[in-house]
Amino acid sequence: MADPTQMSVFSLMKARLQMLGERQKVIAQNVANVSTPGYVPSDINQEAFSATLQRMAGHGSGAAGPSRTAMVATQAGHMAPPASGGGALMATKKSPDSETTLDGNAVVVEEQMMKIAETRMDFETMVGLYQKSLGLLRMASRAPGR
Amino acid sequence: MSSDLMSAMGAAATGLRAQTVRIRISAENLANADTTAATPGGDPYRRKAPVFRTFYDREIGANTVKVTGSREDKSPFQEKYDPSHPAADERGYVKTSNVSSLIEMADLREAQRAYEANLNVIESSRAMMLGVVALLKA
Amino acid sequence: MSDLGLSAVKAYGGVAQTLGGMAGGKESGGVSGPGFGDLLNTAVGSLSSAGNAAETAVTNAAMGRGDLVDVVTAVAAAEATMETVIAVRDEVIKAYQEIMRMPI
Repeated sequence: MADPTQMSVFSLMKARLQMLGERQKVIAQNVANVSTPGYVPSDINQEAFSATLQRMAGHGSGAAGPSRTAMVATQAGHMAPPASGGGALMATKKSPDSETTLDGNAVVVEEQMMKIAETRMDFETMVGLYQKSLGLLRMASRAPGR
Repeated sequence: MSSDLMSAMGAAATGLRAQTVRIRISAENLANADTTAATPGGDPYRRKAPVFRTFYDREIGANTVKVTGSREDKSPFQEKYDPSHPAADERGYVKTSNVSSLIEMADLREAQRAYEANLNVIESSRAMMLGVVALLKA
Repeated sequence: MSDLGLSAVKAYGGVAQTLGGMAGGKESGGVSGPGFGDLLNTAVGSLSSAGNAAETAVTNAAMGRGDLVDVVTAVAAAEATMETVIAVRDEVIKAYQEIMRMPI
């Protein structure tokens, strides 16, 4: 009854927020490696993400969002993955910027900055919409006259 | 609490450090741009370049960067004809360092831009995290 | 069950049983739709599960586990659920009290 975690619209918003958080991390990696020879920047695979959202929306309320893939130690000597489950959530793909330098680095700072601005705008919008949606839910539950 | 946004800030912090090292190396190059050899026919200051390497940091949870050291720029030295110079060789030529002030200044500007971009990542990630936490306040 | 609503849930459980007995609940053929007892039971159930969800999320945060977005959305959602459920509970109780005041 009136549980946002069981409503598909809230699950969708949360999935988008998680995707944007991961996108921010991917872009941060690209920017940190702007001078690293041979580094090709990555980005979230938006087609794959849209497909995930469609699946979630299609399953109606309470559809489970994408779950974190657990990092598995491939050899006995490797350390266990962090308890907080830091596996990648969304599919990423290599996405070189418009210029590649002689040493193979394909990161262009300005293009990554554009992506940061886009991500931040999208994220803050989603947070605002989530806030509003909760507010609407609360409004609907108020008794008449109150 | 783990968070992609925190990982983003962690990665950007390593970027800041790496660009700082790059700037220091450039400054050292510029300071030695006009030097000549100490002995006749000897080699003057050889330009240094930072070596960047990427690696995954488990604690931060992202691909970070580190300047693992510097390498010497193998481009040839400039030669100037000046037989009276103490560092002149048997032909009368003096070798000067292979640092070009113009190139070094351009590199410094690029490093500055990269540094600011990393700062931008930290600031926007921070703002996004505050936005999420604000969901608890209304 | 969480400490959060333990005593409160016990009390509501008691009221729900009483209401269920008086309002006829599922057995009464004449009542269309759920009786007061069912309504209150559903409300109490949602309240305690929302409370549990919030407590789990906050515990994870305190232990340093979990993801920021997961924790915050879980707590915010639990808060909204609780507000809604409490409002419904209040209305059900008010309606019941009004009915009890009616002269037979």
